[in-house]
Amino acid sequence: MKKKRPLLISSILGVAMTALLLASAGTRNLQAQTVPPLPSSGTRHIGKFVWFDLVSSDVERAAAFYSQVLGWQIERVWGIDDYVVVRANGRRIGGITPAENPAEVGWIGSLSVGDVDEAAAWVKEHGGRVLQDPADLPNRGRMAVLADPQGAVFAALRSRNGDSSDRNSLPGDFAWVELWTTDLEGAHDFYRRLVGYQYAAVRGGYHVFGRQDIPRAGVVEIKWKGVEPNWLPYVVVRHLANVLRGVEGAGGSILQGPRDDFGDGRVALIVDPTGGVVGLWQERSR
Amino acid sequence: MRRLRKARRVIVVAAAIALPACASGGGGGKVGQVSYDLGGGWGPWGGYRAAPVYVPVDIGPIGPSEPAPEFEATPIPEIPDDGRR
Repeated sequence: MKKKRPLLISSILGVAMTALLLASAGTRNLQAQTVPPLPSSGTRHIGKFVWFDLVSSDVERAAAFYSQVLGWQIERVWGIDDYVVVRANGRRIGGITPAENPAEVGWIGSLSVGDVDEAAAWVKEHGGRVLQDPADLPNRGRMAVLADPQGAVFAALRSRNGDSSDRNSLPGDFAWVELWTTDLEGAHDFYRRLVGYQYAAVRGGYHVFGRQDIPRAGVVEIKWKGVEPNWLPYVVVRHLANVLRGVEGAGGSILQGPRDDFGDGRVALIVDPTGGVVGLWQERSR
Repeated sequence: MRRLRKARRVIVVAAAIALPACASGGGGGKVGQVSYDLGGGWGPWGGYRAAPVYVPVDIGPIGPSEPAPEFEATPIPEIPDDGRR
């Protein structure tokens, strides 16, 4: 008999409709299984995205794609039959979880916060939404799934043992995350008050969130139709052209790029065969 | 069978619009603005399964060969780093 997924999985589904449906049903129990702990430096990096989960319509297919294209190692979680953890360079960096509705797909980043319950309450008071109430996840910490006032979904996490260290990113690592929003000033104010983000304008229309002068995220203003507000993660690759050559063969698509005129290096956006979108980045020096 | 599928689709669409509105205490209009295309996908990138996305602005990480961003002074968040407000 198959075991039910823990609430984490429902939580990191995060996508509004699913989370709300599950929350209203109230049938999931967080305590059921244990997921592996996050890599920890023993310190906290508030304002840093420390983990990424892909909500996918087909976990196995998505895992095979990222394994083939980005070289990620897939780790099965004992006792949970449909959630896998992703490793890059030996370190756990994220997971892949099934979508309750196969049409609901996306990456959800976990933002380190000082207090998840306070963050959830604050978000609700300030125009955002609580898609999944705060809950304890054994080994991982306390977590809630939230949406900012523009609708970009993210998880708030206070990890149990601290956050991953700020190491130099290696190919396969998540190295950046970007908020795509319809309200630049509103987003600035919201995240400044939530996690103390500083703000800086760089290279033309691009903006950066930072904390204690460490850049933590980019900000893109959506001025066109077709993309809804979201947090988009980026993965470092050694050779972008080579990676892109494998994307379509593995069942994915290239949405944008490769572009040399974006950022510091080469950038592309791809979609996996189950619909998850992720950015790829080859540093200029590589 | 076709009628059943149609009915399910109507229910899902109705839930997608109604649930966020009631569960988010009035702030739920946003989700209703997301384009629900049950045939093509849900979510921020639902419309982009294969076609190139139009990106008229700069995107991508801040790299080591770029000048460091000149941040404003560090604000104090309304939720302290060590917990309760």
